Amino acid sequence: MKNIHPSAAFIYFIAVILVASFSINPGIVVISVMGGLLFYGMLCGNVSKFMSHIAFCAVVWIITMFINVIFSHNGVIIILFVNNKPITMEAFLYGAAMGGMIAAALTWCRCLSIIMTDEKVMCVMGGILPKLALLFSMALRFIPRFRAQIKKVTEAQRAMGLYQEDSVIQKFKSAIKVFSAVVTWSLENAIETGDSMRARGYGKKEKRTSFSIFKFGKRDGMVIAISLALLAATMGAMSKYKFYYYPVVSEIKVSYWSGIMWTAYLILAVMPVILEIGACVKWKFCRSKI
Amino acid sequence: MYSFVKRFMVVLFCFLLILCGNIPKIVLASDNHVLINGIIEWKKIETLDESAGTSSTDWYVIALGDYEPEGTFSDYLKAATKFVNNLGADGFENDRINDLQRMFLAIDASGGDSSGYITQADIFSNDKYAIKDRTINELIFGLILADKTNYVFEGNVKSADFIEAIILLQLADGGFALSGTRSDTDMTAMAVQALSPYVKENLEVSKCVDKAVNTLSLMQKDTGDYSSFGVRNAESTAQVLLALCKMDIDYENDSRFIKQGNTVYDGLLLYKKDDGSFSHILGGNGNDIACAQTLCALVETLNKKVENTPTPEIATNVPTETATTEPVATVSPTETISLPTETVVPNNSAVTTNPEIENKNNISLYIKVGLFGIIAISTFLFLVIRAKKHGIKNKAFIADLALILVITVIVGIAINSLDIKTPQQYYAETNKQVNTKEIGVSISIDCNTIYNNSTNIDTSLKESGLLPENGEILPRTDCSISEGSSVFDILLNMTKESKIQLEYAGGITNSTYIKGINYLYEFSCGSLSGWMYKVNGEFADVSCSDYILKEGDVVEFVYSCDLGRDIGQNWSGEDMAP
Repeated sequence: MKNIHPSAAFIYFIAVILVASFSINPGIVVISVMGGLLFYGMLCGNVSKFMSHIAFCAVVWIITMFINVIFSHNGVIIILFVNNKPITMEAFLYGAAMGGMIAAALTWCRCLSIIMTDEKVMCVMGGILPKLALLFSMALRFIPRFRAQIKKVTEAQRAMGLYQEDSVIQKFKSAIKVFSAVVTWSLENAIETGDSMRARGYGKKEKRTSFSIFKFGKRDGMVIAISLALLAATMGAMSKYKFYYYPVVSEIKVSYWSGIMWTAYLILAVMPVILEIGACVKWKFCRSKI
Repeated sequence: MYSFVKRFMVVLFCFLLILCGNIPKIVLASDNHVLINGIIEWKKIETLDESAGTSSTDWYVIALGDYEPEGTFSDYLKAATKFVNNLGADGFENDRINDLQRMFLAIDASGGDSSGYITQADIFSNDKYAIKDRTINELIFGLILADKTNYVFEGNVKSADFIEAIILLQLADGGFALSGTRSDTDMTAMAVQALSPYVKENLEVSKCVDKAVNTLSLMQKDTGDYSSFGVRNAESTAQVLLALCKMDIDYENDSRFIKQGNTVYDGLLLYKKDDGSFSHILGGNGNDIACAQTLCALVETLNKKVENTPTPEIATNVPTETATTEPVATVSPTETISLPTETVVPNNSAVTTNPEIENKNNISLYIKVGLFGIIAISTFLFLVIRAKKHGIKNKAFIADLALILVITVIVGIAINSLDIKTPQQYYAETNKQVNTKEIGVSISIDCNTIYNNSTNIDTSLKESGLLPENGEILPRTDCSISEGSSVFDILLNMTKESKIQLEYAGGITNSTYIKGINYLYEFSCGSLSGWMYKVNGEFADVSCSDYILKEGDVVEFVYSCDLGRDIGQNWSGEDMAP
């Protein structure tokens, strides 16, 4: 996936994330969570990082579930009345599906940010929307820079003996101090960036050329075509097979349309893994010939 | 070791702090003492000795005789003895036999010896007044008196004569009454009390008492209390409670005496006033006789609790025996309708759901204790981790401790304030506002308009089959509600009563917005759909919780699919004109 053309990767991610973040069909949610985690695990390759992401997703999932239960009282199966408002099974299930959806979208966006580096973002959008592309890539770049700066300031404070972290309250106070310093830095940094960009001639009226090192090949075209076809199949089948949570949870029906939907999306979700495995097989195959 | 003990004490303290909010709920046994002392305090205004011979004072002494056995009533005893001695020959006439019996009971309860008077009054002899000619009231009191005073029968009269006479007076519907053919709650309950000691020995008695107990079960109101001569009152309820205690029926758990989740005990507490007394009717003032009879019942329940014996055989055996040997014993529905009480209908569904209510009675407590446990454990873990890192005397640890204590207490208070109920408990609740005047209004909920826009209805809703076919979610129903209630109050009450789902946003007292009724929500039928309400045919321009009802108002909740235009709301009214 890392080697294919940015535009193909971009379209693929749009296809996956579009479905993952808008469908609350339990099958789609399960597939997108599993596929996302599989892909993310393959990309990060670091067990502790992967586990912490899973823990994060679990927390998001549980919080979403309970928040939905607190605010939604629709549903036929009532478990309890809390403060005279019903807590329903349907709200729990809807919250669970919603939490899964959010976790899946988060996971896929992490994968996106690993695959789509600044360079690739500029390559995809630089020609069409140069300003937006620049803004996007700068904004994305800003987060890791901000974190790095926080780490830097914290370490400096700690070295000077000013960063107290014995009790929770002290830790909180110190963190606030560092945060305020870093916010000041970021504002200053933004002005500096603007100045230096202007000094280099950014913002002139003439259309600027763009350059990228990526070449669009036959395989990239295939990826785009397959992604779009699977997306169309999933969306089409989804409009035929609707799943409801309120007021009664509909049954999970295995039918013609649901079969198409799940299969198409399953293929879409595991496509990167298939590509990777295919590359490995091809590599082995080629080597054995030599 | 010392530091560990200190740490443990701190955690224990946290836990206790959280739990102490719930302690009143856990320690329930002292409730009865509080109630009894409340009545005693209230009653202290009067002196007992001067009013000997009046019904309420006698009852009061009879009740307290069991509660404070030793010498408390010497003044009363003197006064009562004097009173009886002064009665003279006329005082022992037959027509006053009932009053005498009650007084003798009181004298006995206050520690005196009434056997001489009993003989003098010929209560247990056929000489002046034949046993079989006596009224049910006299028979019942006679039997109770004989039991209480351990009277030794002499001559040709036995306790069996009384029992036989009482059984003969049993009515077709299983109860007893002073006159007429309809059972009266008080008489039935008192008959059960009088016969209760003989149930084990005598099969006839056991059958008779079974019938009477069944009748009492059918007579109970949904609120748990009882009525006599068409008026719900505390005395009847107290007598039934007393009868149940005498029969060793577990009134807290026996499904026959739990209506809509309310026990007889709950019913009795409806009559409690703030000053500790009990009223005769709902919302009335404290009443002497009501207090005295309630006291009798409370003392008896207390005695049962103190004994804490497992339910004796009779209580469990009796119903099955009735079912097998004599199917007629259970009162048939047609007979029940003839009872004087208005709402006595054999409620089978209530009986079947009742065991569930019993099991889940304390679910709120369990959930809260569980949550407290989780918080306590996490607090403990946090403190242990911090203490390990810094040591117990470190300033940083103390700061942490303060922080976590504050958080724990806040969360604990928040959890404690939650009101958790099972659906059964929720729907069994009734509006227990008693002290206010009630007004009659009517309400209907209608969603007929959705069928004119059936293409727009949410598919899920259409498929669920939860929408009524004619659009009538709640047909026009007359109901009463306390004065000053809003349209929202009546909606809330009636949806609760009819178990209709209701979701609203905003407060209960102002700016309430009805999101959905019976799973039909705003936007469920197109983007202009939602609930609106009319009072007396006119759309109001305030939130339903801000509209105060008047007597005779007709409230209609109607579902609109077109911002009110399809249900007759004309938005180009005068207010809208420039």
